[in-house]
Amino acid sequence: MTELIVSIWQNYVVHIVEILLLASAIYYSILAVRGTRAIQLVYALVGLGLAIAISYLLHFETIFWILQRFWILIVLALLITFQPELRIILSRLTGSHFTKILLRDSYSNIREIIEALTWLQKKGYGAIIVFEQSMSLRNYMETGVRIDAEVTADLLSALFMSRAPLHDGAAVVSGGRVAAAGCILPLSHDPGLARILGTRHRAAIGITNVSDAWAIVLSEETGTLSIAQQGRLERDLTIEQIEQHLVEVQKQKIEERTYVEKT
Amino acid sequence: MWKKLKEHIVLKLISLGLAIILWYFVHYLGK
Repeated sequence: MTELIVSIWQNYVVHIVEILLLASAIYYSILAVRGTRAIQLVYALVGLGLAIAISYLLHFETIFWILQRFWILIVLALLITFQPELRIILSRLTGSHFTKILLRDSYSNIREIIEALTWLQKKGYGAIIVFEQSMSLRNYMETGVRIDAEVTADLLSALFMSRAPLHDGAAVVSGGRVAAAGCILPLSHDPGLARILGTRHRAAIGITNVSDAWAIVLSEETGTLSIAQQGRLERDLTIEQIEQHLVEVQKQKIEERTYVEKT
Repeated sequence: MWKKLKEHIVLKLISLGLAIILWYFVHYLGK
């Protein structure tokens, strides 16, 4: 009887369990990379796997020999190229617990940001404010002007007035301060994005594709507010919804801090 | 709702397919 069970386990069940475990690992990996540039890494790895399999099946001995010996180098080169994206995937897989600890925007900052957005919206100006999380945005801050000032409604409003020299770029809020303004962000090239979305929206989605930051966008053309997060854009939000989002982020931060202090 | 569910089912099927291919290659061709 025991032999029968062992034989069933070794011949069938073990393979089914292994396939299911593999499938769930692949499924969660796909979920983690969806909407980021890292999906290209997955395509590259799948392509490499297919190349090895096809060269083996069709008896392309030279190609198979090369791939068999150099696949580790190819994988290493891909991992180095996609290192920033891999950091995002890891932060998503760990439930972004560590990313939230480092949020430092305070409630008073929320009031100032909301006040600035209300004024800018009323005056018909556009704006993009990026909130740095655990991943540094230093590279992007260097493309603009370093400010390192308190978050105030007057400062944010002044930055985005259409005659201001820095109004075209993004303002970056880091550690509860306006770290830089006039920053140039990477644009999202997702063809699925609505054609009416301008450079500001594409930049906001772009920065959330390559980092764990999130951004608020105020459209100059339509005066609508949007939030970009993890490569996705929530459009046509009210000022109250933006405030609610900022408060939620702040609440999470406090919860995380309390949790860390308790443990 | 239904669209999202469908998307996830398709993703799960793709993952299962890839897992079976990977398993097959390692078990029968890799040895």
